[in-house]
Amino acid sequence: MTMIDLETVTKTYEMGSSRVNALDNVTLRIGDGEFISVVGPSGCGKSSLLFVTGGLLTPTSGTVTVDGTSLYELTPRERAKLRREMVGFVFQSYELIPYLTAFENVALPLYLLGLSQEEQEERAVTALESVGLEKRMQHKPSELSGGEQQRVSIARALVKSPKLLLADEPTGNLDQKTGKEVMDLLAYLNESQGVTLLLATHDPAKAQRGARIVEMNDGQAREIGRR
Amino acid sequence: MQNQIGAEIDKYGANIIVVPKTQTINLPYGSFVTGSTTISEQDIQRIEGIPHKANILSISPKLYSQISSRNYTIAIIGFIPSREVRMKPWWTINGELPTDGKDEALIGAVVSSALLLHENSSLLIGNYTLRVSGVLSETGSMDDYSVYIPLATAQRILNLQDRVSVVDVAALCLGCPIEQIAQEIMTAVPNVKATPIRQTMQLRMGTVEQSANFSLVLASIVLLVGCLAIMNTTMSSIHERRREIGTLISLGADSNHLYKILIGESLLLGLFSGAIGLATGALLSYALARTTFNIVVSITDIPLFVVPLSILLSTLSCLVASAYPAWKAPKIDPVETLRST
Repeated sequence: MTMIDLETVTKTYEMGSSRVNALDNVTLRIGDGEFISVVGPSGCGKSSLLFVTGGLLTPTSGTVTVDGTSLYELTPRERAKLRREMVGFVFQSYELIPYLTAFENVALPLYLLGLSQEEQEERAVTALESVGLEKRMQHKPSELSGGEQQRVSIARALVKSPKLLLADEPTGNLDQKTGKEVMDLLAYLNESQGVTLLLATHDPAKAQRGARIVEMNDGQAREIGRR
Repeated sequence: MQNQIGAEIDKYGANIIVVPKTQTINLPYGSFVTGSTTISEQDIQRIEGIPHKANILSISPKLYSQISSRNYTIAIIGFIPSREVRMKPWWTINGELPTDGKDEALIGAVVSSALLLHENSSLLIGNYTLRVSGVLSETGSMDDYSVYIPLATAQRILNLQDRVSVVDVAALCLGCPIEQIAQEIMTAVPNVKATPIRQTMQLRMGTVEQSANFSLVLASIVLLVGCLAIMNTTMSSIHERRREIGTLISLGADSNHLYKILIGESLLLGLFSGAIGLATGALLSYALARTTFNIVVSITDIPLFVVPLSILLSTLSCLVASAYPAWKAPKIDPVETLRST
């Protein structure tokens, strides 16, 4: 079953008098539970691909279908609801809310879903336990290491049990050892929970963890490997 | 505060004049009344016992007469020095006030220059020789042409024991009808006519109203400036929190979530700042009233409705001022804020 279906997607930016294609006629199908790595140099369109797939960036042309729903035919509010319910993001810079504790950061998506206080607490604790941070729940992001912050960010993405996880350079700010731990965690979540994982990375070694590797170049996508 | 300002202004002169009810015509001229009929000193005690006696700041009885001296006609006024100076704080005396019961006189500036009298000079009135205890600086009123003598001395000289010509009454009357106090005086002492001095009242009320209106305009300007400051601060805050808002949008927050979060923060800010503003305002009123008006404002002088009103106003100001920034927040492009560097 197809989870993501990008059909001739183009995203064009006007830069003064010239036009730049961040995505150029991209067609890509990703099955439910697949782990796809997207590689390529900076500015090649990896992040744009993830944002378009996550419903944050409206393409200039083409269609984006996630779990059978054509994303950009929805209203912004319907798209936010879909993102709230089934899409998790993990960013290179973690993007945790600085004045909230690890626990509160993880509970935030559940608050947006309108779950009860008790359910928020129960699920946030479970998510933090699953990434090994049960003892760091009451710490603010500034009191956590980079690896710990990224694990909080992963717990925040997973707490709502999303169908789709979009990870944009999740190990970009981490050292080799911590980066490997984070990659192990993402791969484990993909395998154990069946979460569809779309990983953008410029590191070919980390990209090898994916079942398929898609290379981006000047906005164009091309499958270059399959495990 | 208005009551206190009113009370302070009340000190600047009498606002009820009490004269004998008479068949003959009394001629008022400023605060000067001539006539043959007089009021008994016992009647003054009855004035002090009227139902609104708490509103009476001061009662100053006077006995008027005229004498001729060196081709000048001089007004002689018997008075109680301590009470008169309370009603006329603008008096400047070179020398001293006369002492009750003594043969002393306080003379006006014109009398002083016309009769070449100064402090410690002797002034002959009838068979009595009075020592000039002080000279009034020029006031531009009838006081410049008058000789003030302690009431008992004046009564002895004029052979009018226990009699007065007129009673000046200063009443604190903000919000209470001055006519009612006048009527109570006439009920207590049937043989007098108590007349509110409209000019004084209107001046007094006008001053109080002007002061209140000025405060209101000032408060409105402060409120407006406050709203603009809150709007500016909220706009800056939202600009600084662009990444946070972008993150919330990526987590699935829609415009309603963002409004709820941002307006909720403004609501808390409004409630909190309203309470702080109320406490600060009360303290400043207390301090300014003491330093500016020399009056004491108690916490109990603050009307109860001011507490919810100020917190409500502060909260509404915060909500109104943050409405536009909150409306702008969902329009932030999350991609721009979240793009990895």
